[in-house]
Amino acid sequence: MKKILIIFLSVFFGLAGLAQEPQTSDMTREQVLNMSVEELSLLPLEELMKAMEVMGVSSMEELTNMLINKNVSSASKRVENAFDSPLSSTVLTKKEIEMSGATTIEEALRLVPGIIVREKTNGNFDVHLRGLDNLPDKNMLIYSENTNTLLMIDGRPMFNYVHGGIVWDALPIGFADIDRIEVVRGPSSALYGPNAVNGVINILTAETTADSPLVSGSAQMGSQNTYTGNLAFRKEWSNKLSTSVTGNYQHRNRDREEIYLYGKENMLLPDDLGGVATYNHGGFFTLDQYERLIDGNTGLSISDPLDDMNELFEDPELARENYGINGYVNYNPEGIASFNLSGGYQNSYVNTSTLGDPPTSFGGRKSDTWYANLEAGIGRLKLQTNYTGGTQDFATGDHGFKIDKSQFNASAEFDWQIKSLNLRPGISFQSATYDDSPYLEGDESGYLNGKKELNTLAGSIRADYLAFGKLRLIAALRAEKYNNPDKLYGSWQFAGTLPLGENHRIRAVYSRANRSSFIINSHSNYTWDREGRMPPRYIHFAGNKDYDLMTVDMIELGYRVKPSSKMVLDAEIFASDSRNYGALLPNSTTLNVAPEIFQYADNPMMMLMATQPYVDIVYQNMGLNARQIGATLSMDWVITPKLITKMHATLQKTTLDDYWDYSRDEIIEMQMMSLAGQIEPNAMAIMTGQLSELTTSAKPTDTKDDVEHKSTPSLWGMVNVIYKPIDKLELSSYGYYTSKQTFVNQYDVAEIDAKFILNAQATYKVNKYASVFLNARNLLDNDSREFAFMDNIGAIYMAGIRFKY
Amino acid sequence: MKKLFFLMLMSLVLTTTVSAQMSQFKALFLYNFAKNVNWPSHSAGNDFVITVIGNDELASELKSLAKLRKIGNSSLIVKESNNADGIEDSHIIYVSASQSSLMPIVASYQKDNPVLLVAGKQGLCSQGAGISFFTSGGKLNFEVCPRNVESHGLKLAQKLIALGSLVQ
Repeated sequence: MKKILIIFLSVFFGLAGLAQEPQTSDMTREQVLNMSVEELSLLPLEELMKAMEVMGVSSMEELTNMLINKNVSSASKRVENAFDSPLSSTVLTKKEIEMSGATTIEEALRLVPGIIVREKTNGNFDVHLRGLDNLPDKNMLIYSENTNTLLMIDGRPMFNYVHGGIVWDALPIGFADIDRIEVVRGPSSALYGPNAVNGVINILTAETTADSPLVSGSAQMGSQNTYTGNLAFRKEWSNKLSTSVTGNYQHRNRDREEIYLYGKENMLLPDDLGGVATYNHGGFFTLDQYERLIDGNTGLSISDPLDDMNELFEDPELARENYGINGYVNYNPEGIASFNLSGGYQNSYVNTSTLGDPPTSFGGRKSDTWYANLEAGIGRLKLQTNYTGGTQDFATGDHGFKIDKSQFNASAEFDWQIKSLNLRPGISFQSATYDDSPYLEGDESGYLNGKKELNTLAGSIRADYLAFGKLRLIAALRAEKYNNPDKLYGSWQFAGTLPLGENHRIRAVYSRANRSSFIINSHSNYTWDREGRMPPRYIHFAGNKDYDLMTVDMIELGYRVKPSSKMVLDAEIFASDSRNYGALLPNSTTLNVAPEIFQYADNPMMMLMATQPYVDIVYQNMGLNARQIGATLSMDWVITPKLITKMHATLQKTTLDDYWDYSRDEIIEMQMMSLAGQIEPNAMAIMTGQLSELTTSAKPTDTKDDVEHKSTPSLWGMVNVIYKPIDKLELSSYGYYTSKQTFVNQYDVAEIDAKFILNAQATYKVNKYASVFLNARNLLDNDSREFAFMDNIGAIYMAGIRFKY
Repeated sequence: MKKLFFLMLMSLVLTTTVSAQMSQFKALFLYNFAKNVNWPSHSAGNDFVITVIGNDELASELKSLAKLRKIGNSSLIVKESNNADGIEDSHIIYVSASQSSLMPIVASYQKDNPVLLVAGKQGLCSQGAGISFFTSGGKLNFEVCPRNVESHGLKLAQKLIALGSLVQ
């Protein structure tokens, strides 16, 4: 009885005690704040966590973690504090991208120091890291593509090995996939292989965890028929298995239907009333006008008589339409292994700068590709293999530019930590195969005429040593064996960082990187029959399997400081020297000089045409050398939880030595005219049949030194301000500036004025599931062109929604 | 201009206060981690040692806590270091966010020792941390990697694993 009474009283007083002392989860923030350390230390962990939840992590804490104390993994191939990164590197999180209002991945890169982003047509961009763009100039537009930056998705190269460069519209992923974008500035071939000449952009996709929303996405629509959408389904089935499926879509129109034609003296446009308008400079023309324009000097049409306008430009008003779907499976069995499998498909069509060589700067491009990527971690061994296949038409309507692609990569790396020394040996293999033959009809000439392959076998080692507990020394070496050119290339990176107290870092880097070979450089085999056009009659483009790959050496000094826990400043000064540039350049010109040509003795042009000039163009190195010096300054500052600002600016100057100031067409004209001048002195030999060919490979040899390269802006940068007046409202604005540029290609010179673009977004959080926003790109409608011979880019106004559940 | 200056000054004061609260809770979390690990009897000496790498308010919060509480029958001793090497006889090593790049080196030096490695920053389990703090959605939480903890001969209580975010 006594026992029962004791139990009863214990339960009663126990319950009474509970009634008097509220559960932690029932406590107010004030009550938690008033608890002493002693009282808090009595709480078991689960109660302590609830107390922390009641008190809440300050938004300042979260913001500084997100913006100031970031992790980066691409600079050393392992997670480290971005503040300690030995290389110039930037991490752009998904949240930062959302806050900026950027509507494409390319535009979001405007937030990253050192990146030049210029819009060509609505949603299609030129993206360069630090510069060295459009080299060698006085060339085809294709030489303005960025062949110096390696783009990757989760370490999988997204590079166009046909021409070199990045086909941004062929990315299968959208914002729904992305966790963050990491950018490493400076030569990084020693870590990532060729083409990381000026750096690396690594897009890292999001992991699916228990905290991931089941459904999330965004949709927005606006002017110029701009629609974008992203959707993700994510589910963690257990601690071992998670899956996700994502999709993305974009549709964007240009602000006009006309396309740009390069300037030419005396272009005539007949009208229906028998009149003729004369044009002496480049400009925008309708497709109908393009088809009817005539060269007043020769009477020949400006367009290629073999072209079908409707095939060249299926929808000239459309700037970009693309969609992609992706799937991810993450499997972490018990033990030391983990597996990430992803796969996807994309389809895109864009009207942007041409990769071909027509009289217009515009061209259509279609991609229809798929991929599979497997990453496996087994202890400290990391394996990755992936395959990308599909079809790409690099110049729609221009026969011979459609290819089947097949790209395979495999790599293995071992992460070996021995006290203060980290060693990372690795091997990798890449094969890129392209085949145009399935799309050639009859005896049609493509630019490959068969299946061509580039492959690379590489071995690398990276050592990262912490000396004296402070001084970090890094040496990375990589050797690459290419099949074309059949050569061994070495790239390296030596870096050191020294902390000066907790909040200062100084660092230095010396590195070398090189481009890989590209299919058009090694394997071009294209005969251009120019019947009905100005001489020459035939131009044959040939690849070169034995040339030197473009290589750059760079020295960089950097300084980072955290003046307070809420601010980080980063300064870097760099100087680079690049060489072994090359281009498809005339090797020789040949005239077929039969006695019949003399029937046109009264008309030199007709006589020249009768010789059916044949030009042999071969990819070859040039003596060109580019020296770049520059500096980048960036700052992230969480002023208050309601006010954040970010800014960056880059100043650079590029100087060219051994600059050869001649275009392909100028050389061809010189060679043809030189041969034409030999016809009359050799008339007797030609008439008697003793001479049937005249050939020359003479080229001017004069070069210039200390030429300022003006295709890259001398100054560009961004200022971003984010203001949250109340919890539910976020106002974000960023301005992006590029200074003036002078762009020279083989047909024309374009002066690009300095441009300031102001973007703004207002986001209202409706509830925990949805936010609505108004988004203005180029709010002030500064309607000028950002890239040579491309559209003027004005304002786009949009409204949209972001959701998660 | 005056308003902006005032705003910035206020933000500095507020941040310092908030940061101290966060450090206090992290210290309390660490104290709870210590209670939820099965420590081998031979580990360290009679005192329970937590070493903090990097300047972190956490160390002073832990020292305050050490005056009030013990881990079992052992006194709580808090040490501070700026280096990854030379750390001996610690039960817990906390690597502050600012020194997170040292985590793989600390893990290598301590690989044969019965020590719990805790990181002040998310994502460090891949670099050898057994527990890694992170903040998300207004909550302080932690990633826990039993594999890394067990590699040091320690075993976590199931409750601790269940409360954290499991990383394989």
